[in-house]
Amino acid sequence: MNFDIGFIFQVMGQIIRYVPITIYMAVVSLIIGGMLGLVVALVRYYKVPGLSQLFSIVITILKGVPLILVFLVIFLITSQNFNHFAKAVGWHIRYGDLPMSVLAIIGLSLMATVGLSEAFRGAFESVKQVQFDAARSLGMTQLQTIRRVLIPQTMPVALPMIINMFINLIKGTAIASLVSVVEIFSAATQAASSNYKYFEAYIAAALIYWMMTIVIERGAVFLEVRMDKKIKRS
Amino acid sequence: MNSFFQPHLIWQYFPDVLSALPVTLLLTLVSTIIGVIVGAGIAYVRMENTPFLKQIAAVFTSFIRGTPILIQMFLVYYGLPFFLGYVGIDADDVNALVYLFITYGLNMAAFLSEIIRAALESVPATQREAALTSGYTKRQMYFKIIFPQAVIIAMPSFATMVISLLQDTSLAFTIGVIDVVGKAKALGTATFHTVEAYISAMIIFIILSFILERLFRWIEKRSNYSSRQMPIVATNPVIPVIETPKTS
Repeated sequence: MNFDIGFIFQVMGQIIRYVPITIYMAVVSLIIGGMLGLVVALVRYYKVPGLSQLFSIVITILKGVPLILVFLVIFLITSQNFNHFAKAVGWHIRYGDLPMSVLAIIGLSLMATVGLSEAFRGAFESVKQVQFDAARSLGMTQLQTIRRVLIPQTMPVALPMIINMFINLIKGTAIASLVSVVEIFSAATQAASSNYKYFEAYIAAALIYWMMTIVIERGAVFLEVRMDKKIKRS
Repeated sequence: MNSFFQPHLIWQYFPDVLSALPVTLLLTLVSTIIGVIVGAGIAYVRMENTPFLKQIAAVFTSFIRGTPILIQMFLVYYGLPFFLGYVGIDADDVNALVYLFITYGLNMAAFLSEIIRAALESVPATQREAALTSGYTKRQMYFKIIFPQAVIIAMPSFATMVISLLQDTSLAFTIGVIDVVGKAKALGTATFHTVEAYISAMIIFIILSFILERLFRWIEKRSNYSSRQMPIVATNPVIPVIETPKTS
């Protein structure tokens, strides 16, 4: 076996087409996870009776589940039951017609919800009690307080963790490829399957992931600097 | 074929899946030890500004942080035989666990090096100066003054890293090691009740994570961590973020 540098570039050219779908899956999961995570964090922060305890238990449980098991179970359950279900409900789609990225998005959203709810909860703690007293004395309702006082102040604190989660989601898509979601990793495996140059193909995939992460990290630094400026001005 | 989901099978499979637990625990333990040793080395190199080595350490850390662990695993799995070939060792003789120790160990090292570095740097510089003026050697300064303080600071992030490593080991089955997930998969393939087997594995991971979290919390309490002056350390289940920007 010889090391074939040319093949790395060849594979990179092939798999770079899958960068958009990877980013798409990560972004959609981040948005869904962000919204659900915010709701969970708010419920736990305001200690809504019943729901708060329920979420706390659910999050503790989900925190312990490896992503791959989530994907495997979702994949198996949907692949065995979707056709029966669709027939029963009267949908005219078969499992094969579904885009596999939906699977990835479900699993990744779950991961993002768990991670971001904890991140937001931590960030909420950074808002001081006087802020709520002030909002109250101005006659703001609870919802207004959340929208105008709590969330704007927590976002800069939570931003590094949100970016971290985004990078983790992109890395998580590689795991999704184990349950037949087509993205960078599986494309690299496929490219190498004809000539068994797996090492070169995975180097290519690794380089692409690495570049994506570096770009995101640079963007995050830029965003943080801008946010800091905004805070200082106000 | 009988009905698709049978909850009682989860309990029936549980002891079988549990029998693979030592592999998962071994992976976690050995990788953590490798990670601490190599990670401390990387942190030392980066803090002492050793020329050349410092750049290698920085690139290595960035690479590990920027790529999925699945790819790192396959890179080691397919890449190591290349290098072993030069040394004259047949890759077939190498236990698959060795690949995993290397992958997870190096992965841990990269993440831990950042945690260790942040912890070492958060010990006030006056402590170093005080130690050096009191006539401590550099070695004494590290072992008697800096480390005891840094360990306490690093503890919460270290805990999150170990727990996420535990979850990452669930990928070991992709290169054919029979860990908890691999066992569940084998059971499922044999009986066509894969979902139940995977749920058994899930339960094991949930319990393990819970126990580990409690264990670390207990250690933190024992080391009287909460009563000391601490920087804000945010907990994130996957990658710990050491510094959070201050709001005005």
